[in-house]
Amino acid sequence: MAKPKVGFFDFSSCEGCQIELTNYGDADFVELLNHIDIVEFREAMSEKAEHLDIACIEGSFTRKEERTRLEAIRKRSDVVISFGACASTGGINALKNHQTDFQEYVYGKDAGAAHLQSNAKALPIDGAIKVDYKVFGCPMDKYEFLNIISSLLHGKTPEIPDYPVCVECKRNETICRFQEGDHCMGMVARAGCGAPCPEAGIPCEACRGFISNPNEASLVQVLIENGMPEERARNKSRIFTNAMRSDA
Amino acid sequence: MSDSEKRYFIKDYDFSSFLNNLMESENLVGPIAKKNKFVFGKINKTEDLRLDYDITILPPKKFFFPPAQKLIEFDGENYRDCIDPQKMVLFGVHFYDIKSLDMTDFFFSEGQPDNNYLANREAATVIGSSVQKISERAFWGSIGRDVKPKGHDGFLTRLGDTGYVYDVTSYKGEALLTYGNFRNATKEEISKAEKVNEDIMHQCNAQLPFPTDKLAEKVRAEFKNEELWDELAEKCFSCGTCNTVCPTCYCFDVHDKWNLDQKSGSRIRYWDACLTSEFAQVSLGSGTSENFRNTRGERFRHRIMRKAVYLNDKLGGPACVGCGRCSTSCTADIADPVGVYNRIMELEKEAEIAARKSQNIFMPRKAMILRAEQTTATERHFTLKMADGSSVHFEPGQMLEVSLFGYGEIPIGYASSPTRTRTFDIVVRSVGRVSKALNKLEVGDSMFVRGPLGHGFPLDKLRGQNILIVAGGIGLCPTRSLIQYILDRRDEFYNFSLFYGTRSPSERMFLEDLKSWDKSPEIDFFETVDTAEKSWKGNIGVITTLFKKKALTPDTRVIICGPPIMYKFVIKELDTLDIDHGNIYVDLERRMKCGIGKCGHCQINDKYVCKDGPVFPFSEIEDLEEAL
Repeated sequence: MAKPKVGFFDFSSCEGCQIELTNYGDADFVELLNHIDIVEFREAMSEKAEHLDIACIEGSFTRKEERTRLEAIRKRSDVVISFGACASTGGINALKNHQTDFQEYVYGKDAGAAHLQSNAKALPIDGAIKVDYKVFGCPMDKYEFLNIISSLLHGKTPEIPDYPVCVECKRNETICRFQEGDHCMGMVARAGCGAPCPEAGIPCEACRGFISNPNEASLVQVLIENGMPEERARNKSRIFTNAMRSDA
Repeated sequence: MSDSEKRYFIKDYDFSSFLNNLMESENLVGPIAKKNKFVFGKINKTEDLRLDYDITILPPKKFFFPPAQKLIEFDGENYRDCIDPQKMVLFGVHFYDIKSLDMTDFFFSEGQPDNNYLANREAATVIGSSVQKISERAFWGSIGRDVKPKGHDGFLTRLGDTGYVYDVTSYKGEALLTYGNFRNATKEEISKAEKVNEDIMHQCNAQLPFPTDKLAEKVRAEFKNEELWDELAEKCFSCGTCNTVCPTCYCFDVHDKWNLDQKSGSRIRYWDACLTSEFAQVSLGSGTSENFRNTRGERFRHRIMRKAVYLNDKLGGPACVGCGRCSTSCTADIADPVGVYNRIMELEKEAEIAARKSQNIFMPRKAMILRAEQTTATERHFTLKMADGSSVHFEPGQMLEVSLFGYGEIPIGYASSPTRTRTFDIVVRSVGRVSKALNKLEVGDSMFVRGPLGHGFPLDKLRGQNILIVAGGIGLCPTRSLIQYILDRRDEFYNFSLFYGTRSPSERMFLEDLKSWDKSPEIDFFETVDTAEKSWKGNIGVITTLFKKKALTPDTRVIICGPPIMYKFVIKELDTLDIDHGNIYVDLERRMKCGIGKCGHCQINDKYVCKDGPVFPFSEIEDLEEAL
């Protein structure tokens, strides 16, 4: 079979997920290129392709004109992958969804400038177009991305975990952040990262978003029971889950 | 401990050289510190080994059944298994974890032996050690005490600072003797060691509220109590932590992974957790799925059932060793089996209290009035349903006590068929204090009922027979229950006739029913009134005059219900037809109060009409004084 043509696109994001692609190490990256044909990649090349087998889209959908661009990519791509937290869950950009003064807060006196206008809400890519698969995480996990690409190369539906980070911490015998007097989102956060943060003593911020059925009420209650003021408990770690909350 | 086991002693002074020798020659693994917790890990120097640990985060099963274990490696068309056991000495395992290993040994051995586990297990020498510090949430002192630790190769019991008694339980355990300066243990040392291990069993903070042998039965009894499981799982994150840290959980999932070359890869099994929402979910294609345990409560229940009930027969006790890891690790703190079993005990106590309350035989239940219709000057026809929505079950001919608080209770027969289970009918004739008060009630009001009481018409003796019902006046009410029943299940009965008599047309009841029975081919219906104005077009005369209208066979089963005077004359007629007195059923009326054979009002000889009747075969009462 011919190597699938893959394109990478960025929307509202830091482009860190695309950078992560270059972190495989030379040998592995070259090996990957033996199996896919990267035909569009603004970070590294200027060519354009007419048809794509796989489009990997980074960043959230937060500006009106982005819808047209997204629809155009969807039209010429067989498979669309949302690539990283912003594209898959709205990511950090969705933090503005509950604010009205974010424009002034960020841009100060330039807030009214035409090129700085954006939608009231930052949405994941599937807020605009159909997305076939999601690679979660901030940044996306390059090994998970490899698994997804491998699956697609073999015509197999990729397996994406829908269990919480706690499972991975326990497998690692990581001491629970709560047992160290800390607060953590692991109980409701989608696993798949291998839980490196808690093992390094950093609480999980749910950068891969929520699992499908997070027990939000219990999350708030458990945080309060572990000494967090109620207001903070309700808003804990919205940084990556704001667009996924029941009040979104 | 049996005498065949060999017991040795090693002085504390000699212990570190024993460990050093072990480390040099063997792959030594044991409890080591991880910050302020413990894990089983490689012992690189004697100080690493922490036999004073309370509990490890993961149980020792991780060495034999790793969290991710390659089962098969493939490369194009070629594939090979990955069984590659590594020799190890697993040191310092507490007795509860030895018990759990014995359980996982069993699970992986039964059916087709799983050598991916068993080979690892076989390559290990497992040496237990006495508990020196008890984990806060452990409850091993009170669960599965009949299940003894076995399957290990040796066991060290610390005797204060003097040294350790070493029980050798296999040749692998015996082989370690060469590494240390062991001597035979004295009788005194042996009994001291036994006492150490026995005493600690009584020192857990947490205790099960009832003996283990009762556990399965009590937990299973609550299976359908969805409210309980939803309550217990309300805070559950479905995170699977309780499963993941459990020494007896052994469920796994299998995934295939490609290597970067897209040609080779491996088939890997991962620990799975039945508390996670994915565990019992299957894909139905096109993005839809079905989850066989969709709610948190169902998943929570499954774990408790597996631990306390499902595996008991195989293991001779619960699939739980009381280590308390789930209790310690659960962020929402709901996984603790002791808490669950305590809650179940509370339920039992609540149920006992409720049962004692409901054992008050005079407690009525509330019924709502759906229909109230004044059918004659004195009779009011009610349709009722139970206020709690429960269905009603009774036999035609049975009674219930109907009451209003502050007025009293009266016995009344059901006037509708039990084939209509959502509602029931009664007819109240205004005669006394209670009935007059009842008859002021309207739709939407409620009354209180207690029943069913007594014995009704013997349906099993009526099925497949010719039936005649003779009803006089208000006697149509209890017989209407049987009439409806027969009409609802007409195929079960043969010829069916009804004679109905009242004193005058104005006393006729259930006018709608009378009209439909008159037209129905299912029932031979004959009616008469004692006296009437000229406008009455029907029969006039006492009820026995109807016998001329219908030919009856001697095998007919006859039901009689009406004013006392009617019985004598009707039975005289039946005698002329040669109908056996055992096939005649009479529905008697008496002054009744309690309805349950206690108060004595309705007693006839040795029978209570309320409890033994009100329906009797005539043959049973014809010789009793006062009966008719």
